[in-house]
Amino acid sequence: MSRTKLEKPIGPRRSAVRAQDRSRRKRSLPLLKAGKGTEQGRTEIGELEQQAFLAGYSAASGHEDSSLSYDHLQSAFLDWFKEAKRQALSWRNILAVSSAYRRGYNTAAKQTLTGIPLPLRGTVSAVVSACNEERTIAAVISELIRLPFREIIVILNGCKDRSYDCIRRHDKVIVVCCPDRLGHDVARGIGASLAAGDAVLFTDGDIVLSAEDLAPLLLEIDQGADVVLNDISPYLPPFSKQDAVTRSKMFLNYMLGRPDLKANSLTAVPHALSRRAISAIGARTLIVPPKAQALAIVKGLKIRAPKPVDVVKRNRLRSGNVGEGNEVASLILGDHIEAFQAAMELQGARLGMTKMPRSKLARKRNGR
Amino acid sequence: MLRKRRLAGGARQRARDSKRPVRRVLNHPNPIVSIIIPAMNERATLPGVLRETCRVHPRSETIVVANGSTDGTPAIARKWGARVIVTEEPLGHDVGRRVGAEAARGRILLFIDADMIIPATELRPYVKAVSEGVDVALNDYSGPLEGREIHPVVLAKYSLNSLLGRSDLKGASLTAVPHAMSRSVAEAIGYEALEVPPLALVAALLRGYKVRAVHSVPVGRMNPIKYRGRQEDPLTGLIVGDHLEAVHRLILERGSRGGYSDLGRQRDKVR
Repeated sequence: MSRTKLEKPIGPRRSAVRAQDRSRRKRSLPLLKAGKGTEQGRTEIGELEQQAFLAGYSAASGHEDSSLSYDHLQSAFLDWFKEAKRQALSWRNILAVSSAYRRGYNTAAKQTLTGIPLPLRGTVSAVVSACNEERTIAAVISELIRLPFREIIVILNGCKDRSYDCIRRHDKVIVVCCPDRLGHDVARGIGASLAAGDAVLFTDGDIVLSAEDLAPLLLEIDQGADVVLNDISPYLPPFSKQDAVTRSKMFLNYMLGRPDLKANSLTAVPHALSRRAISAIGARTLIVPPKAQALAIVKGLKIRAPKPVDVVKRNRLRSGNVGEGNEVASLILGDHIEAFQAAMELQGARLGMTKMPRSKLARKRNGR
Repeated sequence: MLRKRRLAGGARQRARDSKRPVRRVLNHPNPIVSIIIPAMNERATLPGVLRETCRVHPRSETIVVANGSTDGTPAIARKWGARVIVTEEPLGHDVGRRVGAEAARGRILLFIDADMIIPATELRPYVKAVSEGVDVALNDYSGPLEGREIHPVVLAKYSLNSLLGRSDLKGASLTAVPHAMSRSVAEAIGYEALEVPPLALVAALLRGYKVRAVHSVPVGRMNPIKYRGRQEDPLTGLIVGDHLEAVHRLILERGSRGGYSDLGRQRDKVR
């Protein structure tokens, strides 16, 4: 059963809702392919979406206009989801159900709420580091507000522009101003030690990522992962064309026994850490993201990279981060050496690689 | 032109050998180039290898380090006129190279393997580079890059070069033959460093020696596959571990950031 068929019988919808949802529908299309095609799997999700739509519809219908808000949507969805006991769903399916629920809610409420309700068990804080980002910071925060964060901590550092004025006033947003320029890593460390949530999502003020892109990270970290990374693999060139930084990231993961993580790294945003991870690694270590990653792997924390978010092409180019051997690249290479040092302190210089005597190896390979 | 080990098969090889005039290795009494060949049970390919080494340089010596061989490798090497060092114990390529280098008298050391016949024309560029002032001349070959998954050894070679600020070397490495170095480098970094090739490379680079990838010989395609199927070749773990030791050396000599700046990060701001 296709989704369009499913939606048709249910009441007329305002064109605004439709326009807004059309783009969503396009984005969540992989959902229908996700089950790799068993007709039954698809139908089950279809049915659940229908239930969600109806539940959302009834959640909104008995209420005054004034009490209908994203907060209400979120708490109503959370209650319904707990009752429906759909804990085993993948994040793709959860997002589809959430979107159906919101469509029902919006239809009944005759509203156009854009917030995404998520069935979170714990609380999540967002940390945004920003330095002179007046052009993007407002958009970054309006996307974050569409997610059920406990708080959104914005670390403004070394700002000489109107970044502060651009930040929308909202009861969840906490702004921390530092006169000195700190760099993303230090700012994230400060954010991590200020954050009160059970988990923290980190992103930057210079890149606008949609709430739909960030939601999977929240779901993964809430469902028990300790470290959730952005899966940047689809955006990377083949190995022969990769830069030194990308190779170092891959090298670190491979050598620590996690080749499946490829070049995914805490160096890239967005990423999320559980409270357990932050205390195991230490907020100070977050200043050197590859070192934090190495410790996370060595300490056996649960690390996942569920979804690709394209930050490679959208990254702002600055004088410092262009070309081979640029300042930022050198910084990150140094960070990786520091990461190796931290791992080697715990596991020895060969990180558990074979120390078979060369004579024995030779006999094994060339002996007659 | 590049012949695989046992590719021609024993019989065909012998038939061809018998038609050619037997050339002997001439060891110059006062050599400039020392060609070092560790060999363990390589009777099939050693004659072919030695035939090429005679043509590398007019003033050269050829040293075969026959280790742990039970197939008459030392006798073949002697018959061909090479200087032969025999050890009963197997040494492995790297230790074999060290032993050969210590015995060498030339001021240019050329390292090749006994299981791979590389034509003299493909070996001369390395000797030429060192005679013209390069301190360490590497094979400009990075290993197989195609395929969905990158091989850990290839990744380790590339990454070590990158961390040393020598991305231009790509995946060139002292673990791969052929390579050449001036004897003064071997003396400066210590002959024992040759036993762990990536360690020797780090030592040479940190001392500011001129390291270049001078010429490409695609040895990966000529290397015999000794481990088939799912079983992982223990050599992979050994080489990868060697590269980690090299990273460790970099840390010991240049500090925990390997000499890279911290870009003024104010670490004390986070508590």
